[in-house]
Amino acid sequence: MTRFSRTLLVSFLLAIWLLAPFTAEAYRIESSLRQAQEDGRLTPEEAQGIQARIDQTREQGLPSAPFAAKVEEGLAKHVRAQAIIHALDVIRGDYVFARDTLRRNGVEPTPDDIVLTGDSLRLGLTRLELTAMADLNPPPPMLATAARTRAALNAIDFPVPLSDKIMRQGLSLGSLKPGWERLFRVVQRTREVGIPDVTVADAAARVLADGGSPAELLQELGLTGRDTRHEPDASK
Amino acid sequence: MKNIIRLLALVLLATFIHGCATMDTAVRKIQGEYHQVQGQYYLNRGDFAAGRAAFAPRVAQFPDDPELNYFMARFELGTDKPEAALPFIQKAVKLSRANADYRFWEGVTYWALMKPDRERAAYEKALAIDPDHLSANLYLAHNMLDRGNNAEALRLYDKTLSLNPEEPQAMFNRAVALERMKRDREMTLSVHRYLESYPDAPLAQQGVRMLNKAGDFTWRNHVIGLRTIPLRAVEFLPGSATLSENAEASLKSIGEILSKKTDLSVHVVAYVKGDKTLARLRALAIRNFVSREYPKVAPERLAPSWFDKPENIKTNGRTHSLTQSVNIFTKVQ
Repeated sequence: MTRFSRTLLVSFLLAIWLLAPFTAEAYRIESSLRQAQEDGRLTPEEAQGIQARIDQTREQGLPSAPFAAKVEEGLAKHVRAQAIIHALDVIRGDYVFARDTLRRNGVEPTPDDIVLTGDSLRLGLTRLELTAMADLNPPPPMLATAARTRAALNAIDFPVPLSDKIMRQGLSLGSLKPGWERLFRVVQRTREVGIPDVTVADAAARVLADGGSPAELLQELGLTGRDTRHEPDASK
Repeated sequence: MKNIIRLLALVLLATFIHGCATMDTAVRKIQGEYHQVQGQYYLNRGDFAAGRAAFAPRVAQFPDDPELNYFMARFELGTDKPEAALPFIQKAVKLSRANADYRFWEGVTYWALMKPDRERAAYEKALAIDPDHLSANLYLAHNMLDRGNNAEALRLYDKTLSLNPEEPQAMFNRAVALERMKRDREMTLSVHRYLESYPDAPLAQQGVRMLNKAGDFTWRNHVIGLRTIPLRAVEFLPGSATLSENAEASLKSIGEILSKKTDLSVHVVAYVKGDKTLARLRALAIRNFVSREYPKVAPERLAPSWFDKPENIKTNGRTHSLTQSVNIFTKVQ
C-alpha cells in the first residue's frame, strides 16, 4: 500500500471518527439490562426499576452518563438490584442538590459542573459547606472546582478552618481555577517533607491572591512541580 | 506434471501468505497511525476522560501494543489517577524499551505517586536512551533540587538551557539552586534573565523576592489592589526628576491597572536621602506621567508624598536602606 493511499485511509477513518454521532448510551444500557435478565441476574421488575431511574434522570435534565456507568459497574460486579437502585437514588439526590446550588447565581451549570459537584458530595463535602461556598456567588465552574478541592481536602483530614480560609480567598478573588482540585496532592507532598498544614494554607492564600496555581504553590513552599498533563514547554 | 502443479500450488500459497502478511502489516500500520493521531488529539485537547473511554476497549483488544498502553497511561495521569496510570506506562516501557518518552512519563507517574527514587531512576533511563531529552533533563533537575542535591540540579538545568535557552522552569529553578548554594551574584543574574523573559509569569514575584532578599532592588513587587505586580523599580536619570525608560514602562503597567480598576487609588512615595525638593519633584513627575499617559486616571487617584530620608525595607530579618527609591502601593479607602 502506498504512503499516499495509507494517509488517505487514515484521514478517512479520522473524519468518520470526528463526525461520528454520540455513542448510543441509552441503547447500551437497555442491552445490558436485557442481557442481565437473560443471565438471570435481574428480574424483569428489577430491570424496569433501574430503567425507570435512568429515565427519571434524563427527564430531570441531569447528566445520565454517570448513572449509566454506575449501572454497568453494578451489573459487572453482580451487585444486588436493590443496591444498584439505592446507589442511583443517592447519586440523583446529590446531583439535584448540586445543580440547584450551582444555579444560584443565575447561570445554568454545565453537565460537567453538576457531575464534579455532585460527586464531591459523595466524596466527603457536606451540603452545608457547599451552600456556604455558594453564598460567595462564584460562577458554576469555579464553585464546582471549589467543591472538588474541598471534598479532597476533607478526605485527607485537612483542618476545616484552613480549608475555609483557602476557599474564601479563591472564591472571593475569582482565582480558584481548574487545577486547584489537586491541592490535596500538594498537602500530601508537604506533609511528607514535614511542612505544617497551616504553612500550606497561608502560602495557598498568598498564591491565590496573585492568581497562581498549585504548581506555584509548590515553588512557594520550596518544592518543584511537574505537569502531569502536558510536556513542559516554553509556554509557561 | 504433478510436480509442476505442486510447485505452482506452493508458489501460489506462498504468494497468498505473503500477500496476507503484507496486508496485515499495512492494516497494523494504518491502525497505528490512526491511534497515534487520535491519542494525540485527546491529549492536545486535554480531554483525558474521553481519551480513556475511547482507548480502553482498544488496549483490552491489543494489550501488547506499547502505544495504546502509553496513551492510556497519559489519560489516567491526566485525570489525576497515577495509580491507574502506572501499570499502563510500565507495560509501554516493557514493550518498547528504547523509547525515552515512555521512560519520561514513567518518571512523571512516579512523581505523582510520591516515589522520588523511582522517579529519578526513570528519568535517568530516559537520558541513557536520549541524553538530549529536554523534559527528562528538566524533571531530573527538579528531582535533584527537591532532594537538596543543588549542584547536580544546577548542572541539569544548565543542560536543559543548552537545549532550550528560554525554558522558563529551568531558568527560574537554576536561580533557586544558585541561591541555595549561596552564589548570590550568579543567582541575581539568573533571576534578571528570567524576569526579562517572563515578567508576567506567576513565579516572577518569587524571583523579585529572591532579588530583594539579596539586596537587589532593581525590581520590586507592588501591591496594587488585590494583586502583587512585579515591576522594575521606578528610577530617574541621576540627580533629576526625569524618568528612565524602564521606569516609564513600569508606570505604564500601573496606569493600565488604574484605568481598568476605576475604584483603585495609589500612594506614590518618593525617597531621596538629603534632598526633599528632588523627592517631591519625583513624586509629582510620576503622578503627571500616569495622568498624561492615561487621561482616564484622575491625578487625585495618585497621592504623592516625599521624604528626604532613605527608604528602609525589611527582607528576611535584614533591613536594607535605599538612598533613592519610589514605592507605589494601594491606598486603602
